[in-house]
Amino acid sequence: MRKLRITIENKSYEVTVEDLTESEGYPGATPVARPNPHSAAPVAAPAEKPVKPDLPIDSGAVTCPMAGSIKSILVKVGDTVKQNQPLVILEAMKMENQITAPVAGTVNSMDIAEGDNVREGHVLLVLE
Amino acid sequence: MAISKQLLDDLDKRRSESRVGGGEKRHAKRTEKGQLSARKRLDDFFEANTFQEWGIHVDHGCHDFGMEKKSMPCDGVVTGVGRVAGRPVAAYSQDATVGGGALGQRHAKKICDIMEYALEAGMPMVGVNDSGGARIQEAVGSLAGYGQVFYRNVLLSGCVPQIGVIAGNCAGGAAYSPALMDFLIMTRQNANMFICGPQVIKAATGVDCTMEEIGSASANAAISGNVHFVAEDDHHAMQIVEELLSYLPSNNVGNPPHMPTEEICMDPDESMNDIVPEDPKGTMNMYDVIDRIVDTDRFLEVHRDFAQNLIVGFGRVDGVVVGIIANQPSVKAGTLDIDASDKGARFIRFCNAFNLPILTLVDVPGFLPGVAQEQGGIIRHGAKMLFAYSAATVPKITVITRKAYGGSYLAMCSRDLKADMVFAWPTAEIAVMGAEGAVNVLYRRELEAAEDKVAQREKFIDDYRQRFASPYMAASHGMITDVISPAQTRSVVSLALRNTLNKNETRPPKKHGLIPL
Repeated sequence: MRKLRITIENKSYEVTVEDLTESEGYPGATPVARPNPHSAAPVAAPAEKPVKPDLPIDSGAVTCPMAGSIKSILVKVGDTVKQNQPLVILEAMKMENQITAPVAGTVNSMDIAEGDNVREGHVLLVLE
Repeated sequence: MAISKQLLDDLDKRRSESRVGGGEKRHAKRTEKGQLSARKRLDDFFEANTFQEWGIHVDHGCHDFGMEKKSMPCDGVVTGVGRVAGRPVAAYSQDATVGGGALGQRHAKKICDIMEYALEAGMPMVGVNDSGGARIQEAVGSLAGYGQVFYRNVLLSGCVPQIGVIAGNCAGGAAYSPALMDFLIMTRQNANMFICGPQVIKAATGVDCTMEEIGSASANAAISGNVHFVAEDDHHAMQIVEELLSYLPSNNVGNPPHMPTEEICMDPDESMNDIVPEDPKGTMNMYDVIDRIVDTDRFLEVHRDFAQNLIVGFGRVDGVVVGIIANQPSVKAGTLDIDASDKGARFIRFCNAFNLPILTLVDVPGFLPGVAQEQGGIIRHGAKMLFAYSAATVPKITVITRKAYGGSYLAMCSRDLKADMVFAWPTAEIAVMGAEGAVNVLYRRELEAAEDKVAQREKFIDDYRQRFASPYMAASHGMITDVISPAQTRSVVSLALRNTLNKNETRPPKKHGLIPL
């Protein structure tokens, strides 16, 4: 057990660090990586493995997860995007939902405009 | 005066012959593909020298199709008991090098024997599945064998934890024994699980599909939700089983392996305040909240790839084991849909069966609207959440972080479903429906009569928000134990859990309730 002080953006946190490789009763048990769609807070998030898309994305189409209206579009055709980069803000269910890039790529085509009402499954844009 | 050397040599010889299974050649082929042998999988899992094998001398009893001339070491399955983190655990591991791991009558009897033992001695049951299915040469005998295994899966269900590993092909009947277990772990490569394969689907329906689409680990984990964990390889799969067991009691009579700390840290965690977006419409990543509640960031997520709008998994809070159920507002706005309801209800029922306290973190705007949801039976599926929470008698602690609207608020372990304590952040919005919708209904006439409809509507919405989109209306009704700052969350939850651990609630006896399946 070690005590450490970490300062992030002028706020300091006292943390106790336990070395799990030696003392823990369950050696080798690794925390399971999970998708982190986007972190809302700039605070130190635990390190996570990059998320692999689990199923092959054959078309590169980014579809709408639920019915709503397009609040804003954050990219344009031709833009290069990184994985998990926000592409579109979809207003639905009392929320402004970020639609993020499932994979890195280039925006090939886009079939929406701000203010459009879209249905679930609607192809918002296509990544290449 | 001593036992004859010949007898001991014979024993050694018999043992080593059995241990080879289907022969070095077959083993080498599998090693090339990155698969471990049936025995190595168990060796990896149990503490050294603790494995007591059952029935190493068993061979098949088939006299048809020339089988009488063949030997099947252990009849294709290794069974026994070993220790994991000091506790006994029963296991079977199918050996695909022996007749493809296919299940014959004695193979089935070995599995049934060890399952019955696990039940009577009250220890978890782990099954490593790697089998071509029923052994065709033994005909209906092997079919009956499957039935006997299924029956025992059900006997054990809710008494001891059952964990299945899918480490090879599991088709048809071979998929149903794991399906009756509590958690399934599947290796990313070398494993498939399906009822009807692509050829059968093509022949019956004319539809082309690939094994990747229907039977792979990713399809089972992300689309159908049959599988709870995807492992990178055999070794990782056994590690996940071990980690999972570290949160579970050995049986339904025992307590989970709590490791309560001597003191509960009551200091506020200011970083939690920074996670909450200022705009109620902004997205929050619920993983950030969970990571700050559980000890040392350790959260074992179950069903990670399935219905990601709801997060479920195990962690400890100051050493006390909890099952966490949380809406994820950054996926589908955190709505409850059919898959999320099934995922949540199943997890809640597991926690209740094995005495695991439940922590619910709420940020839910509603049930997901849609034709597919209604026609798919969201009423029936959403009802499972209500049923599971209401039926649970373990400690139930709820924290409403932001949105808690309508029926979905109730379905996330509200006070009315007998949550023991409900805490709300000042950002909580507990209401029957959103302001826009409510105003349209409440002020229809006034809005029709108004000169400036837009301005009037905005005003009504604003008023409604002020009054209802807060935790204080619900708090004034006594539906909230306390309104707390996000920074207090971990300490408040920890104290609440400690205080509730000895909860003992009894219900009227019955055979079983009727969860809307």
